[in-house]
Amino acid sequence: MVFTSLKFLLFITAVVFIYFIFPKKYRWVWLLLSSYFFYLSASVKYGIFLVFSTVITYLAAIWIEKVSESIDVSSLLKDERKQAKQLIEKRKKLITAIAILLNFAVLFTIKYYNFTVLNISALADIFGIQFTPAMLNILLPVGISFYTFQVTGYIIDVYRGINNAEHNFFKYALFVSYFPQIMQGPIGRFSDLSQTLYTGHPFEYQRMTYGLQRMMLGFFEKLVIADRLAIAVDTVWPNYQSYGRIEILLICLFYAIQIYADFAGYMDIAIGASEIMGIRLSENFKAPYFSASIPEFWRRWHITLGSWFRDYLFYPIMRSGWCISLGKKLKGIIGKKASSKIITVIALLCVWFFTGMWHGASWHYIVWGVYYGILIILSTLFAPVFDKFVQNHSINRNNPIYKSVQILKTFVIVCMGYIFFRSDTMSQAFGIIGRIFSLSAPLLSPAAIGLDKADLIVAAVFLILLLIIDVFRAKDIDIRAVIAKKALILRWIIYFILLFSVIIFGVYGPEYSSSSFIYFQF
Amino acid sequence: MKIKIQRIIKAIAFMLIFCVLFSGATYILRNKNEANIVLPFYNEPKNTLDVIFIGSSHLMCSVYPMELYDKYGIASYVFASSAQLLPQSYYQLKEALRFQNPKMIVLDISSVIYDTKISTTEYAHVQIDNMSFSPVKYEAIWDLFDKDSRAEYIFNIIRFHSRWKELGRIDFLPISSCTKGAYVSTDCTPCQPNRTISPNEKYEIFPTAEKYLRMILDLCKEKQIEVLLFNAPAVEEHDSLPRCNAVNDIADEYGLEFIDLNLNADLISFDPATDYRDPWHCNAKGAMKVTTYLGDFIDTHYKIPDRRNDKNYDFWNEQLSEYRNQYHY
Amino acid sequence: MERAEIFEKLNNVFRDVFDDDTITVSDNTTASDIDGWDSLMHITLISAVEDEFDIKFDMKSVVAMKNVGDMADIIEKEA
Repeated sequence: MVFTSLKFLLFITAVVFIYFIFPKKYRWVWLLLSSYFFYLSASVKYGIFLVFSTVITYLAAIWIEKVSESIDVSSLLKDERKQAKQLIEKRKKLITAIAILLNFAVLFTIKYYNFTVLNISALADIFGIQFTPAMLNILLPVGISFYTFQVTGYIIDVYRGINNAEHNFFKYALFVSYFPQIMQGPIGRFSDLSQTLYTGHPFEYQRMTYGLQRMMLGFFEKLVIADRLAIAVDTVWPNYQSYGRIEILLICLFYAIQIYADFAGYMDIAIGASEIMGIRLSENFKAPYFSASIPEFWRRWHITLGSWFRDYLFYPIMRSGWCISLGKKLKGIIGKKASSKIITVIALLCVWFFTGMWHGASWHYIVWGVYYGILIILSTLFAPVFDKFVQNHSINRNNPIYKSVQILKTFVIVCMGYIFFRSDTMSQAFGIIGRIFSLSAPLLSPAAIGLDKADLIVAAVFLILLLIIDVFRAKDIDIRAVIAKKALILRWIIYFILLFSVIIFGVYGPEYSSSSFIYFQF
Repeated sequence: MKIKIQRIIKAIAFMLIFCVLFSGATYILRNKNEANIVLPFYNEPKNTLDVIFIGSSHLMCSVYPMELYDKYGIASYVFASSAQLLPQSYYQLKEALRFQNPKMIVLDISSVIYDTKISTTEYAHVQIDNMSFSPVKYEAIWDLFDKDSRAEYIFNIIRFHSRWKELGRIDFLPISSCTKGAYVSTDCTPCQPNRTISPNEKYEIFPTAEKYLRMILDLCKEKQIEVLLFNAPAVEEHDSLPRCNAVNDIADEYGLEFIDLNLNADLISFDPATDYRDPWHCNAKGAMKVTTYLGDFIDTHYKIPDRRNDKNYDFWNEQLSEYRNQYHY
Repeated sequence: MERAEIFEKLNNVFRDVFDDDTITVSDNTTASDIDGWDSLMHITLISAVEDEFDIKFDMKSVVAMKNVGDMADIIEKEA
């Protein structure tokens, strides 16, 4: 069940309605039932993987807690205490590792097995060994990348002592399967979610209206902007050879807007739907295209994924005994600053390799991830040089022109990255880049880009609207609160305009074309 | 408490305004195919029509109710839509009966050659979208379409919202017509008869078509409405003649008359070279022949009142003169 | 160790790490208050603080510390 379907609208209406008439104490049970209905309506078979991950991490977390409590440290002498602590630590680590391994084994097998064996066989081929690997033919269960990360975060948090294990299995199952976020995130943290997920929230008028407004905005972003631009992107991208340089540049720009409107729109629907029931989900975007640098972009784009990689991969690598001892060795040879830089580079490459891979089992995603890794490494390495440059030329960093240039630069870099992200293969990505820079390609071609003039005008008008909304988001101002202060008539005019923009200009439903209609047949 | 009531009022007001705007947008955006022919049906005063023609575009093009009124005083309407199959006709009849209490219906049986409930999505929309909101409409949607496509008939804006690009005057202006459901055309396509199957061969009617044909006949029996079965000239469908023949058995079973002018075009000296608008439809010349024949037949075989001097039907006379001003054939 | 002393030492560490002599931290200083305090600098900072006070932060502290006050609390406990 996709969010932008009539089915989902009926579903969410029913869920919200029954949520508020359910006994307060058991409202979370209703959410669990709805979530499993939502998830299983995609495919019942997928449910197995979800239940597997839920059970494994549920049990592991409780076990970790049991191990921590198994020895009463306070009754021991100081030396014994240290030993016991180490023993506990070791056991906890083992359980955590096993739980993570089991989860990632499933994810790996389903998502990355084919990719891996294909690459191994290609590599073997270079050395003259030829074999045809057996392929797996399993469809990717929806949301598996998201919920695997979420349960992994949970188990590590329990291990680190950031939160306690959840003892009620069904409550935990809700945390994993909560329907607004299971398909595409935001990847939730147990310490955040558990605070609002299980309490039965009373009906609140303002929450209701705010939630609905946010959902409406999400539908607007997704159906009116993203899906409209998608038509052009899907037309031009696979046939890039037939298009001129300007069209390809334009389509890269379109794709940047499409993917943002699509993903952020989905988040707005998820967070809005959840808000109606009083449950707060993490924010995933904060006007990312207004970022002045690539690191900043990644703090504002898919925030929950970035912070996941930071907390559960980057920090552990940087703080691992292996890295620290390597750092110490290098320190003697090349000095403190340089050695810490080398460690950082290794960790960053690792993080961005996996960030790329998380998005899909394909080299173009990995290249896209590593592209950001290299950019961020470069920006870290050259930051001091650049700072000095700025200082020496007494450039005012708060100057709006300077800021705009920075934002534009970042946006262009991000758009370049999307060429790898959107392409189906590496050769396609290079083909598109080649097309942009080849002077033999025409500037414009007569081939149609799939959108007519009327559609482009509509897209442009609504893009300006999105831009305004993002200005508010960038400034941390809740646009809903701003509108709420206006007079009722003005407010309603705004709501109706937005609502009917979605209904009329949204891209949805069976395709209607007047040409398919021949005036009466019989 | 006061705030609560205020909010409930606000919510209701919001939803009401939404419904008004939504139905307005739905109407403006929807395809207006045949709306000008069908929608004036709903302007007819309640229970004033004595004869209603139910069926496909064959009827629309071959029967001119204004001529029937002028010559025989028959108050009738062609309540039809393009490519309407018998299952659709069943609901079209039920819809008609919500507003009118006719003495007889003339049923176009040309679609017995189809075994499906609808022909195409587009044509199904033409029929369903022109229906008023009522339980009959939802009964029709429920029966005629599978569960995945029902939504687009209940809210046809799902299909037509992208028409915002091609809106024209007709989408905003009120619709009116004085043809009483007829599509008057003076175009001409010379045709050749193309009969390849002997008209004496006999086939079974398709089960779906038969089922709904019987439902229509049973409904009329129950409501004590006379039924005349009818087939209009259509050169392109000559090869379907045998199947239409099979209707005779059903007509006999119910004790009904069946006029097949596609088979017996000679009865009205129909000339394929001059009387077709296109290979499926009559033009005005052909329609006059068909209408005259039908009028005579109805006038002699059924007791349909002459409304020409009826005070309550004065508006028909006005509409007739308007019609005469507008159409010349 | 006195809390004032901890903050004095922390000020030096921060000034060194962020290469900015104007920095003065307090209990409520957070990452958003100091230019350049991102996840990379966070790790550098943590290591520098660890070296300065000869302590070791566990992962919980690294991840969960919300402001400099939290950091000082841990130092107070450990050192």
